[in-house]
Amino acid sequence: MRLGDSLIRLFGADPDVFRPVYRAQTLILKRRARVVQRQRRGFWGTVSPFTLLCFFSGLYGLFFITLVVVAKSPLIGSGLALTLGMCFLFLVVATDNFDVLVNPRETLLLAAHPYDSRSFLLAKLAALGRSIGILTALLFGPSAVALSWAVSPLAGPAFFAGAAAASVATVTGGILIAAAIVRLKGRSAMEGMMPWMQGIFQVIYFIAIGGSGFVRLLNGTPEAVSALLWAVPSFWFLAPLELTLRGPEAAPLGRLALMAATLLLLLRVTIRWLGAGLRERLLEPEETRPRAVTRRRAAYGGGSERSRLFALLRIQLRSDWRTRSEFLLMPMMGIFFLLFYSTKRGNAALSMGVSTVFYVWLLIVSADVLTRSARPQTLWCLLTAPVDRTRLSLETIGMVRLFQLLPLLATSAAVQLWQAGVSLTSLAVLLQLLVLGDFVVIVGKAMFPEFPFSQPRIEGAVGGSRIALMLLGGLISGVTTGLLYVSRLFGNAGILATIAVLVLLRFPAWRVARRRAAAAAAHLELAAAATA
Amino acid sequence: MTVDPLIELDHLVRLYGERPAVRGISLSVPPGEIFGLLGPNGAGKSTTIKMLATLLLPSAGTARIAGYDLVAQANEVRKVIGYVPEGADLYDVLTGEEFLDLVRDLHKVPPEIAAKRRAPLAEALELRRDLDRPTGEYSKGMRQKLLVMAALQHDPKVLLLDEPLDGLDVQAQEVLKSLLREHVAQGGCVVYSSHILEVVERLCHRVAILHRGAVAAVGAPDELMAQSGEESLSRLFLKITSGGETAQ
Repeated sequence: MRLGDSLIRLFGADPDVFRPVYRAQTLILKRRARVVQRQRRGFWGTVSPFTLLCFFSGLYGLFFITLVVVAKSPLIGSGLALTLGMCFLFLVVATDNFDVLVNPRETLLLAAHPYDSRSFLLAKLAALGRSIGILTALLFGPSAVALSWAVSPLAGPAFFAGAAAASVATVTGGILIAAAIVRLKGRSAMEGMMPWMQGIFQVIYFIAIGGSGFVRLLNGTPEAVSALLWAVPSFWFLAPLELTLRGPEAAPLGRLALMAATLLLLLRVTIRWLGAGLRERLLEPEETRPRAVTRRRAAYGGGSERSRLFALLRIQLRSDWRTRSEFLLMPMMGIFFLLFYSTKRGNAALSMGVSTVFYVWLLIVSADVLTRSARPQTLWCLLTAPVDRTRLSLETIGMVRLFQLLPLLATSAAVQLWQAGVSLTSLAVLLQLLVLGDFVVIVGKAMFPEFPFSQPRIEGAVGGSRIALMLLGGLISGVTTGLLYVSRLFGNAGILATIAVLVLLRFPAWRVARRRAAAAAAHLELAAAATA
Repeated sequence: MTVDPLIELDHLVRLYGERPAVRGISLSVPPGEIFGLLGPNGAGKSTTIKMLATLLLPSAGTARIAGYDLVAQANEVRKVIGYVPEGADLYDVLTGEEFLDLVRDLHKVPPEIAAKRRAPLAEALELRRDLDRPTGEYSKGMRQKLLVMAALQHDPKVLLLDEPLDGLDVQAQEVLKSLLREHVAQGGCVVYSSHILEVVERLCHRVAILHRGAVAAVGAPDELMAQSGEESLSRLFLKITSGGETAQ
């Protein structure tokens, strides 16, 4: 008998069931990671998704060192690192690991074969534990080493002990939240949340890079740090570190109690939930969702033609979470960049310039995103709809206006009014941004005229012409930013003159966009099934 | 000498919440028989099969498969059944081979024996060259073939098939039919759920027509037609399922 078998039996599991399930689940976890987008070709195509996830974890772990090192108190940097790391782990658990743990389709596939629930569940938990353990080590190991080196030899292990407990709490909490969403809104709701998950993932990335500025800000405000230690649950998991730094004082002991209580509560609730007839419940038929039916009916039925076209596009986008994720990520990233650079008030002209570059660039790229699809086979819904394809294609402009231009403009307006206050110039600048934004969206459509989710973009190949177009988009964003900068040197008159020019240019740009969209729509045909 | 049936259902009931999906089905299937479950959508075919496959617990009634109680000895039941579900999603990132290995190990079949059984099945179903590809790249028919292989590789006594021909090409359909005939000739039995009447009529020794969760008629297709005076199974089926008449 192998040593491992004895250990498995110690937990009340059958090694004959545990081993094959563990092996399969480990492979699944290794080969699937939806929170990171992977190129299918080139070097990155040879790397497994889990390796990519490990790469990002290691990268975050290295960024976290800077947070720990620049902080006046090790608690600030460690707390921020722990918080960001927990957010990252939560995303991983909610997007991929939950599916591994609870998968009703899998039940249909495997439940008719001999197994016992305990071995099955333990094997899955072991596979998950291995995956989360590796990510935890990569995320928090470097900071632990840095703390041991910079603060005290015991600080590192103490921090890592807290981080390990935080990881367990995050995983159990993530499972519970995902389970609650599935229970209340159905499994499709989880896919609906993917864009937000990936958006948060991107924001964590940017905060991890630029977080040292936040730490420096906190360095001067010890009261804020003291409040954070009590108010933010992730900071409770610093209690072991606190105890090594400050000794057994009342405050760290109190937070240690909070940490232990949180962990135990989450573990208890999760274990009870997992044991409560989950298999049987998840096999029952899902209730029909009248909301989706209503939308589809609206797309084919009543309303103006424009609203029908728009509804069709929304249905199509809803059925393709990868494209939708990418599309909705744009404004999230844009808002982050606009806010991030607006806080750098040392050089107002530079921050305004950088913000405008992002504003224009993201609007152009959004038009490009709408020409891709991970599920081209779903095109049949659009192709068989009795609609004018050119108009349908041009309706993507409306989508970019609504989902990209509007939030970016609103953020720009907030930044502009915050920085310059309400004045005629501020309003003129906003009007200029609005007209520019609309012009750029039309230019974007002219550059990427293919019907939404068109065939040539499906295979994931980024051809030379596509790169050239993306560079052209960069050139346009650079030139327009320069023009805006120059126009503002001439005051309100300069700004108004730019607006007038952009309004005039809009007409030929629209004609070009329409002509190119019509040509692309005429050549559209149903794509083959992709393996995305 | 009477032969013990491999499958016995006694007033089997299944509720979904308050709604009954299966209302007191009683049946028995002896060895050597292909038994067809017929019925319109929502008649309770898939629910009955899922209960037999131990995926759903009966709300009332009892059932035994190969002498094992469906609820109390579920794992023993799982050892003697092979199940082909309708519309099951495979693990997209596992290869066909890896999935078959998983099922093989759950059934504790030695690898060399599984390999001997797997090779002719893969050859007959024309899946041999695709077994090292991720199942996410499989067509619908290939997925169905893999499910059939997974159901057969541990040599079960009882086969439970829910719309097994779905997505299969004509050649694979014929291969599957001959595999089923071979299986019952060796003393096994098959429960075959489908709404394709022609196939059931030609393949099954006996059929049960389910209507609104209850058995509306049961017997050999020829006998049922003779008893009812209908010239085809489809006319009998229509008569029962549209008129609400019970011809038990």
